[in-house]
Amino acid sequence: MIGASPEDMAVAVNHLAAEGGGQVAVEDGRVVEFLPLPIGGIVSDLDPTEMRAAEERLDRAAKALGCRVDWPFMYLFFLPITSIPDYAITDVGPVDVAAMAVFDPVLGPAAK
Amino acid sequence: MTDRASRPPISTLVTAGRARIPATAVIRGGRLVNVVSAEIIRLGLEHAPGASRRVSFCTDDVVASDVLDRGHLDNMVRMAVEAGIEPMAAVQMATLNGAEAYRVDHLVGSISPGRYADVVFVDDLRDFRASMVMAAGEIVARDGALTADLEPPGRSGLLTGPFPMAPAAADDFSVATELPDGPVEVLAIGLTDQTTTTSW
Repeated sequence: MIGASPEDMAVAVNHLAAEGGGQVAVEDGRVVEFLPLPIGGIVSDLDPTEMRAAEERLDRAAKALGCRVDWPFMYLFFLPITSIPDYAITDVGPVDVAAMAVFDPVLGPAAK
Repeated sequence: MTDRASRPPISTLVTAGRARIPATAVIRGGRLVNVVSAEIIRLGLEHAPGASRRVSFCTDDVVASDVLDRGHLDNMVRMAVEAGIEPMAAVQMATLNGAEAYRVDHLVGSISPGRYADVVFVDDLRDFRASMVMAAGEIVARDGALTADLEPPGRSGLLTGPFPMAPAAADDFSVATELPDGPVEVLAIGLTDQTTTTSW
């Protein structure tokens, strides 16, 4: 999950939970693109050419939202992995990979 | 991964080339790591020419468009050939070497008696485009298109349906702190295009 609006992030999560998983792009409270992945939330029976078209629609939707990386959803696959890179974002919180411990991302008052 | 087949890149190749321990290296090809794979193979074998039969391929982090546009293990064969690996050595990296590393070469990895008849036909070993594919002795694809019917297997109800969870709210995506009001310093992850494993 990457977002600039907590409200839209909640819409995205609730949509995925209700649909049994997938990939979604949300703008202003509205689901603008959705790829259902109904098997375990990560797998689909779609024909590969249909899957490719859906992947491209999602990438276009993310770019329309202002994302500047080429394959935003691919990067999301990496975020929960607690082996690379140095930090991960998981269901139990942000994880320091080297220490293998959850950490508080708020370090302290900002330097003046 | 087992201790026989690991995927750290160059150091394992060099170790395998010295052949003092039964180390093997598995080279990944994926959307985000494909860029470096061919270079890793070339560098590794330059340092350890004897390591060729200890190197095998696997894929990682590929999506449908990668497989359709660039290929799967066939793309890794093409990349290896392009990096200067002999075509037959590259084919071994995609077939026999991996089967031996995982000790399943009595079932797969070569065309020989007693193995599953999984065979890829190509017109050109260097270009390595499949013109026909056999799986377990049956022709399943010709000229880039599936000819066999694929039936999805039955799936447990545990794998499908809505996720049992309380609805998320916007507050769930805010970070709370006990600090007094005012600006704070936070640890953030930066995202750089084309980069996967640097410190962020």
